[in-house]
Amino acid sequence: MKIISSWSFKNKDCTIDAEFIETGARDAGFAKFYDQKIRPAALEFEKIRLKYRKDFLIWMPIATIASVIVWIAFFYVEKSSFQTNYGDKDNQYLFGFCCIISAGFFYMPYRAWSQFKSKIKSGLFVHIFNFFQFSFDPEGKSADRWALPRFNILPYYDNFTSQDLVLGKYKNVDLGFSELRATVETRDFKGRKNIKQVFQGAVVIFDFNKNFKGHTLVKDDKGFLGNMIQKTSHSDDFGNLSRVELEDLEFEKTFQVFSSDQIEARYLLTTSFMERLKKLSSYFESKKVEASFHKGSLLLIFHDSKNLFEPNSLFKKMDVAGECRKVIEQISLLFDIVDILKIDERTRL
Amino acid sequence: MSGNLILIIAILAAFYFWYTIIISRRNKALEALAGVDVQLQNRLELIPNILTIAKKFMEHEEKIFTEVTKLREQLSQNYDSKNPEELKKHLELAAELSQKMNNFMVRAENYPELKSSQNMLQAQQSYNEVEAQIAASRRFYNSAVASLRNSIQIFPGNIIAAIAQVKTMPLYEATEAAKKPVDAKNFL
Repeated sequence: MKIISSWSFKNKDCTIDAEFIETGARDAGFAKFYDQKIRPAALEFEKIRLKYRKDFLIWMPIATIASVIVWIAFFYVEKSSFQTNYGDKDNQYLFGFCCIISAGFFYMPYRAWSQFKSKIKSGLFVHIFNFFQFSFDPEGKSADRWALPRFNILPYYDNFTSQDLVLGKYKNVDLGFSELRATVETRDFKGRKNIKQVFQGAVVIFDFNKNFKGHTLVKDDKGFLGNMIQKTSHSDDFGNLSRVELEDLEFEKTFQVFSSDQIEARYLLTTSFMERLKKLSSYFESKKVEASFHKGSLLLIFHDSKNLFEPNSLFKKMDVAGECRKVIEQISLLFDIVDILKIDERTRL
Repeated sequence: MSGNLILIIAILAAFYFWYTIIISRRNKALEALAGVDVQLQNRLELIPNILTIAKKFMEHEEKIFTEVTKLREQLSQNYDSKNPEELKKHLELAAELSQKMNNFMVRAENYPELKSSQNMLQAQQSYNEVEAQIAASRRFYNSAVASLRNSIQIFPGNIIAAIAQVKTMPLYEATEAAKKPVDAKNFL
């Protein structure tokens, strides 16, 4: 039986129509929750969207016109300085000054958009995660608690920023999600400092506390030479892992598997696990997904994934039910992974 | 003269290289076989518990109890892992036992009291876990045997294998009966 929640609200400022249809055990009871918790919040956010859209529409033309004036002035001054023999350095300073002024003008419309995103994150998505008894911290800075380098799957980094930290539990398995940007500091031959981004995307961690003892890596297939370089250039631990050749040719085309335990690798990498992994990758709109099983924990990394838990646009009415559905599907797939890997309980029938 | 010598050294080096590949692949296959045996042993240790729990409820299923017990006894006996014939027989017995146990589990479904027994549920969970481990170790074993076969069946691997007395190893395959879908009518 499908349970439908529907409601409609109209006033002079905004219009909201929404419907949430329960489709299975995973979202059972959500329609009621939606009516009680999401509905009032969504209505408020639609009003906020209209307010920030108004701010944006006021500030954007002002910023554009002001910037155009600044740049016309810059070119005029530059032209006259050419005639009056001003130094190149003065022009460089002026150019930098104009850039800063222009950026300053665009700060106001940018602020309208970022404040709107922040309000949606801290309000609407928190409610959705609360349904699953998950916590959601949009400013979540605590991804370092997971000691990610031990998984040997992220490129070497010496600094990172994280956001959208989701924490929860499912069938006694601790689950965590975060968006992450990892960087490494390099120096050129003149000793100047450069910050290079080595990873941007989403990470998901499952802490099973037991079940597997070895280390298994599912890496993106980079071709014969690429894989050799990848393996030799990585840390010692990765270098000690041996290649696992799986029977699934489709999977072998996409991934390379390395493990300290050949049997355990085959035990973990079942067909259903691989299917869920590919599906998750498409949900996260990621260019590639990689996985690392390490001493009872699993880390999934989604390279260049889309920013999740954010509204799409200031100019479109939010599809609240659609956003709820998307988050539920993502969480559902994470739960599927737990079910597949919950080795002490699975039946494999 | 020196050219001939270089050619002979190169051929000998190539033969030696091939020989090391064959030996390392055989050792890998034996290692994989040891992994299979560990899991088969786990299953053998689990089966008496399952039979003991089920016996109280499945009094009219004497035949399958006897078959499983007999196969278990046969499988418990030692075998020479370097003798392909003995190994083949050992793996066939393992596959047959797996098939019989699957039939047994399907029959157990007909006994609601047994099905709901907490002990049986736990035993079934452990059994499924062991079966999953057997499947994983079998995949590793078959992959290692396939590599070994490639190295000893392609010329000059066949000559080197004959000199080194390395024999091919059988694949661990499911029995013909196990490949067929289970027909529930047979168990009703």
